[in-house]
Amino acid sequence: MSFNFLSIFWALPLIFLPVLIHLFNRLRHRKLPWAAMMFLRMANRKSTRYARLRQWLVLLFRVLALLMLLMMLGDPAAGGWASSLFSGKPDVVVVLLDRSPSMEGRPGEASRLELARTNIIKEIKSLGDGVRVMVLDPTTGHLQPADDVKALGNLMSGGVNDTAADIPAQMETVLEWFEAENRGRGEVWIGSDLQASNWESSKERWKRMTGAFEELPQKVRVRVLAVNDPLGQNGSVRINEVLILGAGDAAELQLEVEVQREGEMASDVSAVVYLGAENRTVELDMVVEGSLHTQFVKLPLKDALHAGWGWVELPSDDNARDNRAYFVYGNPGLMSAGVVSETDYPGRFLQMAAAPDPANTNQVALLLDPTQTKPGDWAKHAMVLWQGALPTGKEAEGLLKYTESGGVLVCFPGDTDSDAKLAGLSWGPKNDFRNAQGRPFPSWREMVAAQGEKQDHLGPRVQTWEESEGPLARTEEGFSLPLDSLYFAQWRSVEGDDGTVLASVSHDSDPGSPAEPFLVRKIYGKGQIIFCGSSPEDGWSSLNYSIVLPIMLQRLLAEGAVSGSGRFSENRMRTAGVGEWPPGSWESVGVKQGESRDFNTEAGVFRQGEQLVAVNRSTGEDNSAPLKKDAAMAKFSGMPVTLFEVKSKGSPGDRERIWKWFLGLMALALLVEGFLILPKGADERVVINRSTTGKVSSEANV
Amino acid sequence: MVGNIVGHHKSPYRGSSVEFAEYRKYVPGDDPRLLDWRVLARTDRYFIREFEADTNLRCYIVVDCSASMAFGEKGTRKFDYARKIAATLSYMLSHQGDAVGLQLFDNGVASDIPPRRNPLHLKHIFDTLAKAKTQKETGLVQELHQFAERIRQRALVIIISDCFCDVDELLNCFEHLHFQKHDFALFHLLDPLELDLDLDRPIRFQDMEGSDVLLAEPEIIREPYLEAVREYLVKIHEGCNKHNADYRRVSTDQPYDAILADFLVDREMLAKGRA
Repeated sequence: MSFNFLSIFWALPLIFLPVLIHLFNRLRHRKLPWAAMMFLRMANRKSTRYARLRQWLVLLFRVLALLMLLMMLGDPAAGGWASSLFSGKPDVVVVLLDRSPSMEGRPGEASRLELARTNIIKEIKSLGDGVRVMVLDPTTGHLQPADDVKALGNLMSGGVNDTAADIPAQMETVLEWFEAENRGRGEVWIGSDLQASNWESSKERWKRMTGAFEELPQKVRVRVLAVNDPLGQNGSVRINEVLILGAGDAAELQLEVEVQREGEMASDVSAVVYLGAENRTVELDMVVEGSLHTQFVKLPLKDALHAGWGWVELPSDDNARDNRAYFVYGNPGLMSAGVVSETDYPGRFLQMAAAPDPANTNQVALLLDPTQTKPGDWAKHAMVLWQGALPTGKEAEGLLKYTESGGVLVCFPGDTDSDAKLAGLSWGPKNDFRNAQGRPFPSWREMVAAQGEKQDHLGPRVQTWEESEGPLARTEEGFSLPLDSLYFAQWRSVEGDDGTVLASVSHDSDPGSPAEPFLVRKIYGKGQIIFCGSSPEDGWSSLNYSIVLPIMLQRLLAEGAVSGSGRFSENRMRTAGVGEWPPGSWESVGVKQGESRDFNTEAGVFRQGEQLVAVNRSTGEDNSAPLKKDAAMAKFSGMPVTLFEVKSKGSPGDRERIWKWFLGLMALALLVEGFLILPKGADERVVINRSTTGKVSSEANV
Repeated sequence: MVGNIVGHHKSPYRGSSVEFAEYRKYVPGDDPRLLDWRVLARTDRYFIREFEADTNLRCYIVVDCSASMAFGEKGTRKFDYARKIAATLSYMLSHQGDAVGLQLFDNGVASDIPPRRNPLHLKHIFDTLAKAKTQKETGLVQELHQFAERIRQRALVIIISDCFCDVDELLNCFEHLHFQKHDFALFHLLDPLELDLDLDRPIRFQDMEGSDVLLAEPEIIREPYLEAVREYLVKIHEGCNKHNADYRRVSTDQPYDAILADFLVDREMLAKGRA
């Protein structure tokens, strides 16, 4: 509910007029000499609580009657989603419009985006002049002013794009704007279908953000227009994996196609696969059972065209935006690792661990001489392995620059002691494990031999490591890497408390001793620096024997390839609006002449030279499960928030003038007041006869 | 009525009037002239014929002079009304040959005029009533007790008061008067405002007989006030009936002549009923 004539509430104190009159009346009492004081005293003692309460109730209903009159004069209106009692007109309204693919869904004739847009514009029109309206462009993250309704319409006229709507991030942008611009009482209007993935973020992030909103000098209210009517029938398609099987004439393209169903969508689906490079269409019949269906599709490829692009498309339904999934295929580019080592053996071993089969994979590892390597050459490698004393001078500068731009640098200790530091981390003194006679074991193999029949693990042991993510994470099948079976004859501790410990070693023989960091990661710019506490040599550790090191290095190599902005991969499957694009001029593929798409916000296939990239909407957009109303409101805990669910039939923006309600309420208040002050009936009243003689009556009337 | 001279009122004693009273058995010592010879002849039994004796009336008019009697918000003060009743009754009684006395009570006996029959005495009563003033406090109950003890002969006692005192103590006084075989009547004077508390805005009530002050809203306390007044009036009325007193509640907005006319007619009827 809101009021069109809000200034009438300046007269709000007038509603207390009856109370003032009452108090004034008490003050101007008159004096009266009185003879029958004995009865007055008795009456004063006996005057019931009800009599006193009734007096205050009469005043209350008089006040209420005046309040209702005032509200009636304020020309109240109700029913609009943006209205609320006494909220009045905000000074500034910031509009966030969810333009994610799910907003293209049409639960009725209009799409969710159109419903949200129409209602927001309608409400802003009803606010009238004096309200500053800002519209957030989710692509650029800039807030643009809408000086009038026409400008607002233009700013909101864009359609749906293929990026996920990161509502928390957009709210943070709005927060920054409010922090910079103290523009009085503000409101944030969010038009969204409450798709859970768009609102997902950590509780801490939401809490931090809402807390910051609360600390703003001005009051900011959130209004959510939820256009979350379910769709009648909808299917979405996605390509999970693209593989080329075989070679030559027997080459086949294998697509892992995933289809999700929503609503009354039929289980028999006739999809179409289009191979753009061959300009060929293949019919694909699927039986989709349940809400999620995955099917592998194999298509023969022509020999000359082992690289290309295409899409899979579902028949038309209530949301056309999620009916097509793009893919590209072809030989991946090389992922190179550069290896620098003090001595020959660990270098060659690291080379093999990083690229075990260069002939049959896209992984290569090169032994490098740091003195011959130019600073810019490090960037050719997705990962650099450095064994020995830490680099200093220009070498260190070059490597740090390389890491900062997205490279991965993995450092192993060597025999040479050095005080050098890299990004705050350095090697500590060399430790060795000694036998009962106090002599160090020459190699880890002799430690194993010394275990005897009991096979009790000798020396330091990796007891804890980070298994949830990173280079030591469990395999997809859930198996842990065998780090606890590593032997260490020599090791160096990692010094500097600025990194994240991914694995640490402790001594079985001395359970009380503190665990020492074994593998430490430090994020540096867009890349990362890893310190591994032992070297893959017999004299140092069993890293040259265990499966741990190759797995770890290949994972880091893949990370380096990705974090370097796609420098090392030629064909990629990307998500719209996620990550940076390699510089250059990207053109749309498979569109009509003269048309083009924005690779930042729209799905499609884009080409730069020979490099093809398929861009699809984010995974979360296919999961149509919306947030519940309470859950959505709980995100803004602590902030004043209103959520209104728009139904596809009927507009929530229809505001009804409700002054008649208040007229009725005023009449009701006056009626109750009249009832309370109604004198008692003749048969209830105490009446005393003026004159009496003769026999006395015991009736009430004497 | 017990009087010293022959008057218009029936005496409790047997006398020589023409009004037959009763037969009673002859006892030795009775005057043989009073024997009813006819009855003796018929029944051979000795009976004496007795006749009513007529005597004059001794009347005491008691007027309450307490401060509360000065109240009169809507017209006449209760005290003025009381003086009119007292004066009128005195005049009437005196002119029919009855002896009239006047007692003015405040916190003591302000004036004590014994009953007399001569016209000069009536003037003395009028003068006393004219000069009488209300006092701050009242000792009505105490003075009535003393009064009941003081007068030896049976008499008619007319009390004119608003009776704003403890009801139980007042009823004790009535019992005392009844025990002394006095015929008494009570003119209970009340102001109309005291009977309906018809006030509309907050009032600071100032006690006329004390220093108490009470700020109250009549609208709130009216019902319990009237209830308390009602209970009090019922109690007084019942007490008067119990002690054979003639109770007259009088609102001062009523004409006093009509009140007195009713009173006199009722007493006349009562006298005939007894006869």
